Amino acid sequence: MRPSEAPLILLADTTDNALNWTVLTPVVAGALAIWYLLPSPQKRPLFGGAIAGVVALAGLAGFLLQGLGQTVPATVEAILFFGFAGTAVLFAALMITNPNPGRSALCFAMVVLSTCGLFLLLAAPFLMAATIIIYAGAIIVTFLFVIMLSHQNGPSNADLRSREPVLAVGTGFVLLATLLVGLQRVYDNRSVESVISESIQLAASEKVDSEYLTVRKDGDMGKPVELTPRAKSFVSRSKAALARMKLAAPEPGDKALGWDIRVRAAENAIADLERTPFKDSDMDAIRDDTMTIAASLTYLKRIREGGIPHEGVTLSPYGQVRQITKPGDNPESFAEQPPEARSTPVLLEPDPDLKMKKMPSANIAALGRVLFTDHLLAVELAGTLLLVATVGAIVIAGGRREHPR
Amino acid sequence: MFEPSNLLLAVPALPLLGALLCVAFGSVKELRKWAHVPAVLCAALSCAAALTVVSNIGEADVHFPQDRTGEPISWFSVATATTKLSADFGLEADQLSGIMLIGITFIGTWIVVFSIGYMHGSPGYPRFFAAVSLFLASMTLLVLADNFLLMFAGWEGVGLCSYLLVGYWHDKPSAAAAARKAFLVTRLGDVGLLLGSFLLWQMAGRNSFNYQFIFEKAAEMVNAHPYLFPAACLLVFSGAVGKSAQFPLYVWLPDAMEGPTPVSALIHAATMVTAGVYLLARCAALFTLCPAVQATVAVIGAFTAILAAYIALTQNDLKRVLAYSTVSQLGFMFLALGCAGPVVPSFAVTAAVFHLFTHAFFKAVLFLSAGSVMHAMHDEIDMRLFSGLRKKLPVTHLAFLCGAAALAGLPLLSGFWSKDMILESALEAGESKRFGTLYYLLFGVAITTAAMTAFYTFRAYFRTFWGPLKMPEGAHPHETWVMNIPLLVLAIGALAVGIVAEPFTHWFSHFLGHAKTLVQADAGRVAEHHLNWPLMIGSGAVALLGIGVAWAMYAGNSQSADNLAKNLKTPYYASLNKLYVDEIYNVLIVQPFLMIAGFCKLCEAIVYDLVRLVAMVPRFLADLIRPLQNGLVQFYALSMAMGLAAIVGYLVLVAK
Amino acid sequence: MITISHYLAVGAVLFTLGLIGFLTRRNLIVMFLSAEMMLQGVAINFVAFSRHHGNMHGQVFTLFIIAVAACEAGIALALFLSLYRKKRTLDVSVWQDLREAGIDETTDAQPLTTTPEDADPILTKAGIAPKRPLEETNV
Repeated sequence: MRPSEAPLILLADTTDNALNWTVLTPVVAGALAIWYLLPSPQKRPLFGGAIAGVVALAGLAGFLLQGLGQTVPATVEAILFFGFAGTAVLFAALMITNPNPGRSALCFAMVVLSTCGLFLLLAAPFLMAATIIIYAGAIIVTFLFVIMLSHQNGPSNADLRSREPVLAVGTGFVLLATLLVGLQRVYDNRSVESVISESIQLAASEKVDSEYLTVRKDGDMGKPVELTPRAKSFVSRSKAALARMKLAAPEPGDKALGWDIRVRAAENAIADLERTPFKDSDMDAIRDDTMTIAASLTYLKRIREGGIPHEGVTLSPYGQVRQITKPGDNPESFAEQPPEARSTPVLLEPDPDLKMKKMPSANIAALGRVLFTDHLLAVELAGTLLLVATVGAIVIAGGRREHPR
Repeated sequence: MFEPSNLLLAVPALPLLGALLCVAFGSVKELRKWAHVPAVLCAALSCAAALTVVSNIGEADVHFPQDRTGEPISWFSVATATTKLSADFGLEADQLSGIMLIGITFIGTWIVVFSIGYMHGSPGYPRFFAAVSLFLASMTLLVLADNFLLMFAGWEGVGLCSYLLVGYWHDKPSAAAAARKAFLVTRLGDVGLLLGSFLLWQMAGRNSFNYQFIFEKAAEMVNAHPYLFPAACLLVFSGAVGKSAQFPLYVWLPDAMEGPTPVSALIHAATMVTAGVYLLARCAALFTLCPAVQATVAVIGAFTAILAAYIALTQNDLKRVLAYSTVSQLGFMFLALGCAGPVVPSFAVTAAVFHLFTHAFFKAVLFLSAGSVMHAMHDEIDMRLFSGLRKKLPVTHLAFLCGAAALAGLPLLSGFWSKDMILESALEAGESKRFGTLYYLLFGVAITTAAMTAFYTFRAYFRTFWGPLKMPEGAHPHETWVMNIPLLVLAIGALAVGIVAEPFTHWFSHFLGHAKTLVQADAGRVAEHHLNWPLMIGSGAVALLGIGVAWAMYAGNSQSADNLAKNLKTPYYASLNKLYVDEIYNVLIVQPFLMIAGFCKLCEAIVYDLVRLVAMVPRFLADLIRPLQNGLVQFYALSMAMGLAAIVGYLVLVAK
Repeated sequence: MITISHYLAVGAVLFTLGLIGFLTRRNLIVMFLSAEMMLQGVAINFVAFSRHHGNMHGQVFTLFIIAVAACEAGIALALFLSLYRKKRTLDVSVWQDLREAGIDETTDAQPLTTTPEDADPILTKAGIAPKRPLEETNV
């Protein structure tokens, strides 16, 4: 994808600017909306809060669509996701802003139901059922009983007030902005992709594009190489892309993954390019360097996205099991190779045959197996905890009979 | 088990056990009103043990530990490179200690019995008996100790008990002040005693505090240190002056009457105040070597005697009359002690100790009678408020009469004989070469004092028990057997103990004369025992004269006394106001000390305020952030979330 | 394509809203619900990672979260009941006795007059049946 083809992506380019509109819009509008709608002694018209809320929801949708560097096709999955996510966020906002605790509880039930929809999308049907049964079915209903027993005259004085709304909302949304920016840093790889595609283009061309071509005048012989602005931009963006890859790497320095080798190769290639005047005569060197950059960045990106398996055997996002190393034609020469070369991973592709087909039906059985093998002790402890909590609740609440006044 | 040596240890140990038991009883609510049981039992057992021990004192003294050649029981020891100070625990009962023991334990037991009735229902009932038992333990330890340091321990113990018991009603400001005064004033003398003890220890070669050891070296010490030795004696005497309420340190004793009356009887009349007399008698071997010191002792004794008698003439408070009388009688004893040297020491010391012994009986009975009156008169002791009580309180009246007659020196009663011996020693001392004139003068003072004693004693008697019946509001005169029996027992003692013990049999002086310290002091001189008839007739006449004047002035109406007071205003008011001694002390000593204390307080305040100023800084800073701690859970959670947002936001958004 | 990052973003939003609700709302029950909502945001994260890594550990973790939340709910309800019995209100600001000595109590500026227009449904109190007076039978 070339930058000129996607102006929106340039706007969202997060390489240099941490806070951009995709983050700022939902955060600022959401903060305004929540502050506006929180219970307060001053009656505020609902209208302003509603507008801010709608803007915030739209901003959040914009962030999800544009801020994470993923193109979201209009599939059923996407529509369901946006539906559930939007409902969850909307009712979460309503829950914390509604002065009536009973209605808050009902809003929370809606949040739980929407979350369960998301669980279903994430192929966790058992959790969906468990959450609905325990949260919506048991906890919230019990709470509604308590609310009805205690609040017999509608919302009280305390429910119509908020404690430190400005500070709390500010704190919360600063935290949210931090989280969203962090997500962008990790997952928005569009600048890297643009560098990869540009370097592939450079490598593929027969001769150097005129925009990169350094024209040497007479008498410049002793002077250092002067790159054209386009070439300079490419070099600097390559550097930034590499730095971005190094940021929050999953296993920096993991020799099995060959992370360091790739990083070093890319660094050398970029430095080489920086020194090399872009000339037709240097085309071979340029091609080598740009190929190295493209290959290294692609590889690093795959590792970050979980596409490269760890430690020999792993589960890929779609459940494939592949071997990393292969002995090649000559096992003896393979044995003589250094360990780094031996463990050179094989790039994996999702297996189209296996794609998500078995997951839902196998989910509950797999969960049960994991629970009662790997986490047996924890399960027992959780059961004990529930018992103790039951005893505690009975002791705390049931000891005294309420005296009539 | 019942060896005399072990019984000797039991004499102080039993009352100590009694004190502990009283404390234990006091900590159990149901047992509090039975707290007198251990006190009485232990006091009685201690008395029995003491009598057994005394009956065993013959040619040889009784010791604890029995084997004196063995290693002594070490109390504590401090060693430096050159010197070793070792204090040993050893008890010794000789004739002098024996006399003291009988007086202390016998009178003490009866007074404890009396207290059962007197203190009944008083708050802190167990505390009283615990303190009295502890007192008995300390006092017996004082007289039984065979060295200066252990004696000093008992000496301080009785001081402590005196403090505790004078301040028994500690919520009464006057009682608290009196307790403090008693403790501090006697403390002045105690410092002297301690210094004197150590001076003697040093001069005797820094080996031992043992009496016997030091006395044996007395002659060497005088030769080696002709000035230091008298100084040491004077320092020891200063301890006696403080404890036995002699001029100029007598001022605490009248105030000590703030304590319960049995305490006044036991501690401030019969036993503790005689500790000084005992000390000087014990050290007679030292004092007789310093004639000048002896003269000083005699002068101070005689001066105190007449001074206190003069003050006692006009006091209206019955107990204060008795208190000044005690001071006066103690002065007599010191006069007698001061005569040892010019007269044969064993005679003079016997006179003093004999007077101590008889005085313990009749003064105890007087105080207990006064206590009985006070008990009946609803804690009122001012003689102006009551009179004519002889019909209402017959037993008390009888006991008081016995005691008063004995104190006045009515012929044939115990006070007569003992006082007579003192006068005789003073008269005899007047024949000595060195301070002869002085001793004649002191004899004159003494005989005047005897007349005054008879007068003020019977003045108190007539004013209390004769005249028209008058009682303060709320008084309900009554007598109980638990108070009457001790009164009668002690009254009989007051009447008879003198004539039985000394004048014809000379049992007392023979017994006491065998005490080693007196044998050493006598240095071969032999006391002649004869009845000095002119002196006896004279002193008897003087006593009768005093009683007669008192009868004339107070038996009927006191019109003549009032007239006399109006005519002699200056001496009358001087006496009534205790010769302004307290006021003089206040100006000369208390006020300067208060000024120094005020200056120290000022300095301390400056330092204190500086420190506070420094402390203000963190306090001020804390005041700035204290409101953050407002108790709201949500505010705390908000602070936590703000901190989290600030740190994470800085790391992600700003620091990159 | 809907990737893990989308789910993480939604989880972050739910977590933040729950945090704000916990910090601002003064009703004990609403505070508790807000805390539960924070847990929901975390649960979404766990399930998304579970899907991303293709294993079940994230879902197991979420199950434990639900178990702990159930315990928490039981205890919290019992506590709320006993607190309510003491002060007859669910306002958390009533409980501020742990503040520094000498600091004034935090009170509301002016008490609001609440209109009981949207009163909740009232349940009659359950308990021991009242004693009925014995009726005299005149037969």
